[in-house]
Amino acid sequence: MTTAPVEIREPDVSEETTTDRPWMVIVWNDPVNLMSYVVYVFQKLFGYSRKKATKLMRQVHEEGRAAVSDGTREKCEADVARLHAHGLWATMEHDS
Amino acid sequence: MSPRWKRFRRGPDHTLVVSLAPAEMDLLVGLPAELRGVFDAPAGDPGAARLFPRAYLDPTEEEAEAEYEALVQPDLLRQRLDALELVTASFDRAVEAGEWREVALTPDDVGAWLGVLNDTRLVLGTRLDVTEGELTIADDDPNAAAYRIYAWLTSLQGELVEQLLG
Repeated sequence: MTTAPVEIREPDVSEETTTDRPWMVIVWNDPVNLMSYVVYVFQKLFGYSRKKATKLMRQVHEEGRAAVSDGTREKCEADVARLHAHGLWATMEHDS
Repeated sequence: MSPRWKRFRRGPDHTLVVSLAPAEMDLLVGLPAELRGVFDAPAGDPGAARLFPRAYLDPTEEEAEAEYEALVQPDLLRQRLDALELVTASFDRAVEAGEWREVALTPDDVGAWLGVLNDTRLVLGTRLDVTEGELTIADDDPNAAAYRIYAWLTSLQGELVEQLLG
């Protein structure tokens, strides 16, 4: 009798495992926040140009939501916290 | 006497000078106490909930949500309380300029004013269940006074943001 050869695999010690799907931060439309204020917040928090911040704001306003940043869970939680500190309604979800 | 239709103007040393009528100043002076009341509100108060929203909507992320809230919300509260202190301190520096009340705001003060104005509008707007678009307020609407305050705070914040956007 012989046994089938077994492949030894090195354990994955890197931080990103195959189960670590990227996250994205969503800002939702709400009836209180001023459009100009939302543009200001996007520029201030993410360093976006006026053009990009305005485009994202328009998307929030017209489509009800927009993805404003992405990354690891930790990074996205930090972004959500900053958006909450500025009174925006933000949540995070998996990218796919 | 020059009319103050622009409530904010650039002052020396990176300050922003705000000019308000006495009645407007009186209204603003009352806001910090109102917000403190919201922060002390019982769990489930919709105005308070709007200021401290969830990070995750996915019901399978309840553990992450609980960790987020435990970690972040005390900081959010602390930042908001600090802003109230800055705003209150700025009122104490108000000077009379003819019929107006003026305050020179540092960049930190401006950030605090922006936060207090926005937080107040969020709470008031949530309580009044405002929708987007123009508000038409009937004189006999029991919420007429609250709507008018909301509309005025909106215009004040709008002017402040315009100054900041440049």
